[in-house]
Amino acid sequence: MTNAIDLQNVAKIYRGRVHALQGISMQVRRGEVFGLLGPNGAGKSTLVKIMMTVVHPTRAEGTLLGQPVGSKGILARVGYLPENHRFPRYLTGRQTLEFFGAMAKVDRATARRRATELLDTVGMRDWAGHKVSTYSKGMMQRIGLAQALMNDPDLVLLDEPTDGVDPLGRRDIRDVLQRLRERGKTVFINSHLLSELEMICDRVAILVHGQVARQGTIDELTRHNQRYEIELALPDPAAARMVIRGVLERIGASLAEKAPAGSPVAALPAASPVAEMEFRGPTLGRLGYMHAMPSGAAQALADMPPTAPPWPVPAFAPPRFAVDAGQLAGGQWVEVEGPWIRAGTAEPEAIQPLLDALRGAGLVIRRVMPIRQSLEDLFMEAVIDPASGRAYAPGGTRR
Amino acid sequence: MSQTFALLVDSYRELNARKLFWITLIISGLIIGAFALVGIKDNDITFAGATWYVYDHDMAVLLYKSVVLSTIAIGVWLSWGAIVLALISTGGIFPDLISSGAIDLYLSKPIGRLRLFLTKYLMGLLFVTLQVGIFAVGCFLIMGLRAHIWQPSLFLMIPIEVLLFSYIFAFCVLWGVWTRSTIAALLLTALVWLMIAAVQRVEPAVLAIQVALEKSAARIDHDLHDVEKQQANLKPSHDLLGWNSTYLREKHKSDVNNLPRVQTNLARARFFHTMLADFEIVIPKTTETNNLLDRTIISDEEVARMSDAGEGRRSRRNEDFLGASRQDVRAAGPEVQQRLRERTPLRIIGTSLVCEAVVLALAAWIFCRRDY
Repeated sequence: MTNAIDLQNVAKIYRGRVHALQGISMQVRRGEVFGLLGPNGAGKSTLVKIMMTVVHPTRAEGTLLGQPVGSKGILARVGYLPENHRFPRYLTGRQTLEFFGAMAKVDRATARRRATELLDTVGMRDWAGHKVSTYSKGMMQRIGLAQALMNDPDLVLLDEPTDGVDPLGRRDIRDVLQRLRERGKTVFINSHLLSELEMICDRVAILVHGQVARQGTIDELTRHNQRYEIELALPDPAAARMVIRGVLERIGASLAEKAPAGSPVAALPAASPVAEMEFRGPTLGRLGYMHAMPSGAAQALADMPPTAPPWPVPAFAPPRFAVDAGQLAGGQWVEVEGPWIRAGTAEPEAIQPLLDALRGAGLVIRRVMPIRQSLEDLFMEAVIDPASGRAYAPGGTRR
Repeated sequence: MSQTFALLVDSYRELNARKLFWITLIISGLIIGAFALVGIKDNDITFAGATWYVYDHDMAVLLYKSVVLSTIAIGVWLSWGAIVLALISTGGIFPDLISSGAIDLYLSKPIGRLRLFLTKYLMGLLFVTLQVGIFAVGCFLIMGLRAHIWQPSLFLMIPIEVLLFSYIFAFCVLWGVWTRSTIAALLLTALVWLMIAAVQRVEPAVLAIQVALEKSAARIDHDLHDVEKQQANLKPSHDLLGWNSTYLREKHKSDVNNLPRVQTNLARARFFHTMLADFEIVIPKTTETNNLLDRTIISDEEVARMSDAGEGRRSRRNEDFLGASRQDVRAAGPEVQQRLRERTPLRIIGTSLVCEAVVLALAAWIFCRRDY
């Protein structure tokens, strides 16, 4: 079966100097929900607009539902909800659906029937007769989604579908997308709400500076950062450090005060030799489990808002403990930091000997958590320039 | 077809939602109402109960058509007032269409950009078609009932006024697509329209001067030959006191002096007129298109009658104008009228439509090539 979207080498240069897209290749399978992520100015909307013939590509190969990109005819089988869409203010909700249904070559009787069904689906039946100028942002999004589905499309492209929608509305939209997937429709979502995408998407692509930085299933993309976290119930974690080190060494682990290769901290740019962490307030405290950094990088981190750390952070803010790092007998990285032990494996079998040894040593295990990198973590990892440790500048590349 | 029908219905809804549509319609209604106050009774014109004694039925009809219908209703309201309001109402169609968030919805549908552009353009003409259609019906009924003139050719005002509006609207669309701003589109359109109107005002005036100077040059040349012949044939026995020879000498001297001045002015007038006429060829002829309506309402014979009747009221200026004598200036008027009326509708409309097509093609090219 062919892909719903199969793009090869899509490029867009604005005014001869702004390279918005730099040879995008992307495949979206039929029947899947695909999420497109990227920072502002990464080229997401340009890519969607090229597919919808709103923007002329500088270069584009590939197909949309088997037809060449740019073919107008295929748009009769495609639904599209643009970002910040503006419907004619003089139309009612129902008239809007029927009008854009007609524009999508839906006959009048079908359009009337579909409009009624979709108004019900998106929870706008009671507002069908009101002018869209009286609608709230969330209601506009609902009508926009209904509009995109008027022609019962095989492929739906949604640009920020939950923008301005309340949590209830977001759940409704998720349900609609879920039903579309069950009916074998392909959904392509462009959104900043990563948690929303994580809940609904089968596969995602991350666009950075007009290039695909990551593409695959969420599981594939986050696998290399999956780990287990073990929390011990210790009355004095600092004092128990040597006990834990002893347990780990008994099962064949090698430990040192050093960040091991393969751990998340190894991805840090120009990291200094591991040392006791110098904490600098709450921001660095959240990152403190990793290791010390060159002064410039540390200062850059200290300047960053605490809500936007540049790489995966644990779900907790650890207190001040020394970090011992090393490898398990199986080769997986392991870190010990106060009452927490982190092991770089997603396999329960690999962690079992460690748990047995800890229990054998009389240590009480409070909890064992399989940790997977979130989509947000993955996103942040993709949009940080490894050379500077800062987020890439927004917008296309100027040449 | 369903797409075109949907766009048609949408355009109607859009017009309906605009207050200016209804304001224009109300003003049209008021003008028709005022029109109804004027009527023809026997050989005279009546106005709100008062009588203006003309004593000639044909002249009363002519005055009614010329002043009330041609000058006020069509010349002032339809040609300027209604079109200004129509432009204000429709000037935003394209800037609104191509605004971010709106154009995406249209272009993501299976409809070609050119078709969308042309359909929207034609729908913009709907405003004027509806307005003029209603006005034409009102004028036809009022003229029939109040003046007993049943003139079906009055309905030609619908295509002619729509055509006239389309010339101006094409520029408005071009500026709208180019600048994406309604205000900028309207201001630039007003500028173009004023320039077009100025050229169309000046060109007949320069033509009148040219015709008057041609007549004067021909007359002086003829007089010179005449005087020279008379001087040659003058027998001394017929001019004992020398009055005739003195008169002929003075006349010859005056004509010899005047002729180069008139010829110089004529050459200048011809140069300017040729320049204006050439420029006028490539611009839309709004005034002349509007005058086509006059031609259908008022016949050539009626124009001649009005010229004769107006003869006594013409300028009593005695001095020459740029070397042309008073009688030549007066004689030029009907000839210029005649020359203007001789310009064929095909030439007037054809060249205007070519200009409109070029402007629209440029706008369509911008619309189709642009990234939104």
